[in-house]
Amino acid sequence: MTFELYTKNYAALSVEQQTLLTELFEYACQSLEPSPTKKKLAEKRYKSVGTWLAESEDPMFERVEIYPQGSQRIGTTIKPLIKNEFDLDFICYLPKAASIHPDICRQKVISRIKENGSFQDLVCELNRGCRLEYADDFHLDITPGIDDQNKANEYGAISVPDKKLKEWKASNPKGYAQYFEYIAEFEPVYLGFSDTLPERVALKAANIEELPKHTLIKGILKRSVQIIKRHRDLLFYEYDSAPISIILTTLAASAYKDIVTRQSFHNELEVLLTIVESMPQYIETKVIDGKIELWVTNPKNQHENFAEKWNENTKYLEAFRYWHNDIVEKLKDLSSVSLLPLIKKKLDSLLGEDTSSQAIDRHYEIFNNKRESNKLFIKSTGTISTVATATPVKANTFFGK
Amino acid sequence: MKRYSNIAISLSLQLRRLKSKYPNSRGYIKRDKLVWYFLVQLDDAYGSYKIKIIYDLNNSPNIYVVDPNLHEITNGLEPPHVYAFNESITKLCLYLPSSGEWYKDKFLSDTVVPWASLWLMYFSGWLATGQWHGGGVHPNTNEQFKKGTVL
Repeated sequence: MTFELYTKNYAALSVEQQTLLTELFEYACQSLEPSPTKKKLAEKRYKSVGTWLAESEDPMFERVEIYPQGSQRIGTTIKPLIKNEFDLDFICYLPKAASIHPDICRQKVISRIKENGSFQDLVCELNRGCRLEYADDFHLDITPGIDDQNKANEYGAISVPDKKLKEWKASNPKGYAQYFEYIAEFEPVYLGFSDTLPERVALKAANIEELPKHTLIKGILKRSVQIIKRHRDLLFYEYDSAPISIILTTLAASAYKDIVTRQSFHNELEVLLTIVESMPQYIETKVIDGKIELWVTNPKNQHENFAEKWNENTKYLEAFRYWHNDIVEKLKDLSSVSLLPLIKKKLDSLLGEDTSSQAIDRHYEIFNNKRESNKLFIKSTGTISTVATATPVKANTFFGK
Repeated sequence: MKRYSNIAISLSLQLRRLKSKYPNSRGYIKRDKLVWYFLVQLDDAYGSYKIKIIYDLNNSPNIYVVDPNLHEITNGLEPPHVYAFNESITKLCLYLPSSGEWYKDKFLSDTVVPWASLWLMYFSGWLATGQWHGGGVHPNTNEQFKKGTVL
């Protein structure tokens, strides 16, 4: 199967245009994730909960450990669409709780947290654990976990209460994160790009003004997942059966792992688009007990199908297809316009109005930094650029109403 | 801030410099007035605009966007930092008057032309988001103006 989203739509755009779109994706993702200050605050908070639990005299809390799980652990968290409140997930690992009933364990965690005056009013109960609801745009969800009960014998394997709190169920947030990070660290190979000095000099001599930069996007797999999830949230704003994050994340990782080890790319945009376009290919078909089933296998547990529900109701597969067609169409659409106001409109429908505005604001902020540090020049065509010419753009102050 | 230097660059030298820096431009001097046209070709996302400069040694340069008609593009909504904006004229405010940013001892090619390009880049951002990212000073909120700075 060949992928055409890039070659048919984006390959012919000017380098400047490709760079602009790449930057806008990066800035959009930056605006969707918690700020470094927020991240630090969240870390401080979950650690203080951990300390409080560890100080308990109840032996169940001996060697307790709180650690992040889910999108937060792998760096693909995005702002939710409606409440604008980050949902950060943690495991409260209790190595001494193996013999305790999951619901009792959960209740003990909740009451211990409530014993602390500063947490008391923040706690609300959740099915699997509890939530600490802070006034300032995020909440921490804490799920108890114990040593793996299924003898998975795998790094990070634990057990967490099942939905009905009747028994312990296999989970492995650490293992999944390790798998994802391992793939995310692969670096794509870019065509026509060389680190060797003579070739760079040759490129310069050939009058290629700006050497291609492939460092615009910070962690292309993570950014792709954020974009995918954001578009999913928007598309399914009023509908249920949206493809769940773990399925999208796993398919994107499988796609990335495959393409990055098989082909080279012109630029980061091509990588991003190819990940998105190729995702459905990584849905597996397995024959289980004589029945054909769709599978998105948990890479850390071959027996767990993240898409289990898809085999119970076809609406989930339809929803996935609907999502995939829509994102591919919108990405095609984005390449069909060239002017910034039109790009903005296309990004609105792909990532939401606020996000696309913030991406453009950030784009100008970066541009203004160059302006303020006198790094802008004008070409003989009137184009403003960072490529040095004989005419630097001098400082000015726009005036008038 | 008034300059003590009286040295003004002649119109003919201004024009020569404009034409040499921007070869695809055209202009002339008629009755002590310099008139110059240039198609500013920004990167694809910001578009191309034809600008016109009218300048004589007794006045500040006037910079217009002549094509496309910005009034039509914005449906009449006035962008920030214009001296005039209507169906027939878009006249840009590119620098703080009497601040020394522009003075007749400077080359138009090195000052107002790049500033016009900048203005046009910010204009695209303003069209896209409603925000003017280029900064600047508005006379009605400007202390300096209130204190009576000469325009």
